Amino acid sequence: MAAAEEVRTKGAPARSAGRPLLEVASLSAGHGRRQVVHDVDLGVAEGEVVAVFGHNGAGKTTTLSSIFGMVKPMGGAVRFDGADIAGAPCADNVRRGMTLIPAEHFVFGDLDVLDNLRLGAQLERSTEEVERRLAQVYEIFPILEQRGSQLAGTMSGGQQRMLSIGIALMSGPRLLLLDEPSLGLSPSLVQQMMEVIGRLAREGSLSVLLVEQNVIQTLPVVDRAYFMRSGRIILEESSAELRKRDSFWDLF
Amino acid sequence: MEHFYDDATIIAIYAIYAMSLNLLLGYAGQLSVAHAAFGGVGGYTAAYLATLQGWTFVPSLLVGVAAAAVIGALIALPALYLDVRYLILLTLAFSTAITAVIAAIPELGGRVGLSPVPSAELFGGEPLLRPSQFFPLALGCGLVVLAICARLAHSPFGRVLRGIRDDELATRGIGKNIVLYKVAVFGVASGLAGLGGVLFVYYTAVAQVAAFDLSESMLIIAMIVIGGTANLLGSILGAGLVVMLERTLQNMLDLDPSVSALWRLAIYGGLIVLFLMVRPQGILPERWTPLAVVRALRRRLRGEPGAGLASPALATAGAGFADPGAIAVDGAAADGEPRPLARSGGLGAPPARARSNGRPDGEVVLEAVGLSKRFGGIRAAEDLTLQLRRGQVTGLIGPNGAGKTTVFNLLTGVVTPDAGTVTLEGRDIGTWTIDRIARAGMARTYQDVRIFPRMTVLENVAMAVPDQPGENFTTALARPIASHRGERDARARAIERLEFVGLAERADAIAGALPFGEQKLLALARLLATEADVLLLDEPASGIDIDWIERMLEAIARLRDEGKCICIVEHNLHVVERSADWVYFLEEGQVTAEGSMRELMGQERLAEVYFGSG
Repeated sequence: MAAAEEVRTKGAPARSAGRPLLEVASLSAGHGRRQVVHDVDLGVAEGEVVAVFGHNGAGKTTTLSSIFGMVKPMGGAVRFDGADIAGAPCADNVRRGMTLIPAEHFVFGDLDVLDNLRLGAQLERSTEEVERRLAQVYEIFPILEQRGSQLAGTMSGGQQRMLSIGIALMSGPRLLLLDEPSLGLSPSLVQQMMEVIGRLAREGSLSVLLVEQNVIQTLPVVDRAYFMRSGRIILEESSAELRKRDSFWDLF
Repeated sequence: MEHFYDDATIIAIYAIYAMSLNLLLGYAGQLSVAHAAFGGVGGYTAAYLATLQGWTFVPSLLVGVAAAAVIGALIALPALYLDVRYLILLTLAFSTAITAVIAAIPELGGRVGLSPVPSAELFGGEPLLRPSQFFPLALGCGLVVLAICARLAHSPFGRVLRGIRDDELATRGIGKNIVLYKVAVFGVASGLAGLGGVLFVYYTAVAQVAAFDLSESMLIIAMIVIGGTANLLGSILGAGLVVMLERTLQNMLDLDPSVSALWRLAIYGGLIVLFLMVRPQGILPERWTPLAVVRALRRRLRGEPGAGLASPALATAGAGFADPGAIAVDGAAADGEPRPLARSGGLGAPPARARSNGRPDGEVVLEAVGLSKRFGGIRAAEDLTLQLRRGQVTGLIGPNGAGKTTVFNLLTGVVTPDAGTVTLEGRDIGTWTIDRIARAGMARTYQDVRIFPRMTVLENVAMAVPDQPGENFTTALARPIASHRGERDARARAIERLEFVGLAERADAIAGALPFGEQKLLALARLLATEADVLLLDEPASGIDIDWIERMLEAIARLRDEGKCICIVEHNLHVVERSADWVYFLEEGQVTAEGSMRELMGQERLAEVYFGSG
């Protein structure tokens, strides 16, 4: 994996916050009668990597899914690139340039790698554009080109994660929503994963909103982070500030 | 006139089938597609005894009913822990097998059947030849069946059946031995189906397999789906509608009998599908009674607020059983804000307790030593040792997948440990079943609450009260006064528990319609009603808002002060810090640290494990 070799120097990514890309205000969401997200405000600027940390069941995944349109928000506003998208279906949001990678079941195990990637570009009609994106993905993940005809389900957990990002990139997104990219990966694979995410934001001018429990390994690549507890945001802080803390017990 | 009595007799017989199947399907949630086959067991037994052995009516009826009941109870044994899909397959296989076996026995007349079955007669009286003579017998039997089913369904015994239907694991978790209930309900339902079969062969004077095959069972299911699941009056209504529809169609179309069998299957299959789509609860929904309608009307006439919907009998109207969340309740119950607890014990701040480096003293109520469990290659628990003490809250924390819920499953008998011992007040409970452990004094709540969504709040809690006389099958059936007295006690105790968590005024609401925070408190009230000493709380604060968390913390602190022995698994560490006196830190199925939350928070290695994969 090329990404693995290119070890990113640690330190706060000195990126100036660009134009606001995603703005979420007073978002509430839940499942059925059960509200799990209360009054959440957050934002992601262009080219920014933002994390939402918090304990299991804090409402992080529901926040992400309701931004993306997989869960209909109960209230509040979601704006993407200036447009009001609260409650819009996922397919529309993908067309607008937003995509989500779930924490589990993120590849089509019975399809080969190339078909998986092509599915990611389902909405793109121009074959030239699809080929261009494919080349881009292969540049980031050379292994996906080598394993083109392998069934995705037979790859290792780390490789499947890389493929899931590849699929997401095939839709040509401007904002990537990532649900627990570290889940089930060994510490060294998590490190590789985070390096790829940092690189995408730096080189691809992509914005990323990710949710995580692994604070320590995620902090080096993010610009800013929110902490959620029991469905509410309890803290927003820059990555640099957060790294000065000696523990996060108080925030979980 | 005889024509009228003929219709009425057939309706009475089918109503017997439908009411008894409703006990099994509507109340206990056990979908059997062999109900007519059990009728066949009864019918053929009686026909054999009457035609070939010369028995009189009453003895052959009794033996026929007993035979069906015994075979039904036997069928329950393999069905004990079966998922509903497999139960359908099992009863389907039984239905096909029994009809094939009967058809293959020459003595039973093979495909042609056994005939003529002599006319029924009561204790040497006149033979009941004409429909007008037979009808009183069928009606009498129907009323007896209604009485038996109603008494069972509306007793504490029936409440446990509905618990099995709503959530089998939760029912075992509050100490109910579902084996006894399932065997009893299968036996009763099959025996009563056998009664229907006996009446049918005597009335038609012939026993034929076609009267007891799969299409007959489907017909009975259609009656229940149309009339209303878990409503006995609905079953009578369904039987009446379906029988009359069939007879009308037969007269109108004048079909060849061989073709009409196919038409029947198509029509009743279609009706089942139609009702499941349009009105899944049937014409008369669960809890609907004429009395409830009268009461609601009277309230509406008086202009009382919330009239009509306030009665639980009507609250379920219009709600499909697939979606308990959609059940309507009176306006006030919808999404209520938490109200303050009845007694506001000051628990705004963490309890002030002298903390030393050692664990506070307390009687060890539960002790697990060297617990290990592997699932395939995954080590879910490894040489795990922990103690729960009286008057203390013990916390289990650890990163995702550390095995916290597995610990609860090992302690409560959901999962049997590969090695190690669990001792509850001196007794080794390592191999005990879930319900036995609950009765011995240790019970739990669940992350996803697992309340009984189709029952009222009060019923949810009353069901958990241990040792109720009316839960016993024979008491429920034969000693209504004792059963009633027990039920009064159980309700009084349930109200106390509801008052404790501050839900008493919600007692009559349908549990599935409560906001999630109230469902969590209800789950706690139900847990307390089991009178268990050791309370395991699985994520008591997850999925609920801050105000509800305060209420939950307050309740936990009061229970600890009352001397309960409490263990919580919780991801909100703030909640753990505020409530737990002692905390175990789990990693990959092992306890790697223990101490007060403050002490654990001071350990750098634990922080690395918890906030990153160090």
